[in-house]
Amino acid sequence: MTFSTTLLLFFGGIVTGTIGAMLGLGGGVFLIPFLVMVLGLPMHQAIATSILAVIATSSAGAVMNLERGMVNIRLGMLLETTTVAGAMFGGITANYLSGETLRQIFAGLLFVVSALMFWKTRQAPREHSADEGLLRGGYTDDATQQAVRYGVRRIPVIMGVSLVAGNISGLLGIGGGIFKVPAMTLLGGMPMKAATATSNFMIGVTAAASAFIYFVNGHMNPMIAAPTALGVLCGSFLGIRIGQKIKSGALTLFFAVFLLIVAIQFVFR
Amino acid sequence: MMTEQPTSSRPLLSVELLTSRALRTGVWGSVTLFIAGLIGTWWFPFATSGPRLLYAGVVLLIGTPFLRVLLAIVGFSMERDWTFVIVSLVVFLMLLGELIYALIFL
Repeated sequence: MTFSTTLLLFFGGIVTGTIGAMLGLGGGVFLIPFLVMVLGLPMHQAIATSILAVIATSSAGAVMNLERGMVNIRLGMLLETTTVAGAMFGGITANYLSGETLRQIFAGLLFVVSALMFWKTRQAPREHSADEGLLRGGYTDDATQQAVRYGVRRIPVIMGVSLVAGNISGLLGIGGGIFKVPAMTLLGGMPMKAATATSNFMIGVTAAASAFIYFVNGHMNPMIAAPTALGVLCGSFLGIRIGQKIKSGALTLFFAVFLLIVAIQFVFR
Repeated sequence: MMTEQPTSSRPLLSVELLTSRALRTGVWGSVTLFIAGLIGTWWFPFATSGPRLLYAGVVLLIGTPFLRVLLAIVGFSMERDWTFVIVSLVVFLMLLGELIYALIFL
């Protein structure tokens, strides 16, 4: 490991973390292709590195969201029962799969994420219901200074989606918010801000569920993981600030096309 | 289980305070260890402490969500919300099971 590689990992982490936070995707979706295609890391090591970065960004983001009262902590804990189960199974499975198989599965995931991003640009914001549902929550919206109250519907279905999201997280090293947030908003009727904060709160525990498996197997190299996690952490703070100022569907569309190209390269590499 | 959370103008709940403190401590602790470890590795290459600090930072960061769940159990106990004490306990036992599995079978 050279000093220039450490710098490359740090700055690569900043760039991928900024893009991920700007788009609300977390860093993993962009970080893993960077580690594999630019630095030539094996898939298992790239996934393990991404998992550590995911824990760092999720934990730092959760501190801010908890202190602003945005997190529905009870819903988060309940959904963690299934995401953790999924992530454990994903982490164990990943260690029995070859790097080539994981690469192909990751390419498939990139196609799905890209399609979800296309779909997201065409969705109108939905009204949430304050009168229905369980595990009721509330917060004060910073933009409007209005108190928002809501209930959560179809919790068993959201738990099912969380199981799948956790499994993908453990298997491929991404946060899984891309699946959980639409489930909470579209199926559960939660406001987007509360769903994003609650999903982010859960992601650290989900990632930790598979992290030790990668760590004990020797896939998590501290010399690689530490500068990357630092970079992604800096990038996520930067991305949140930029994302608040730029709310562009065109940006999402651009990165959806970008991910599609990366996915094709992953398949034919 | 159907507890209503009031708006953010309220004082934070015990569970929110405890979990946010756990996360803050874990993140800043590991960031400090990472920075110290990288400086130690590149500026003092003959000292062995650099890689050890990086290793400790990784373990602390992975352990932070474990601590967060453990403190959620304490927080829900302080609020006497026994349903969520059990839910948090289930999550903690699953994480512990994964740790034991990794140490024994891998």
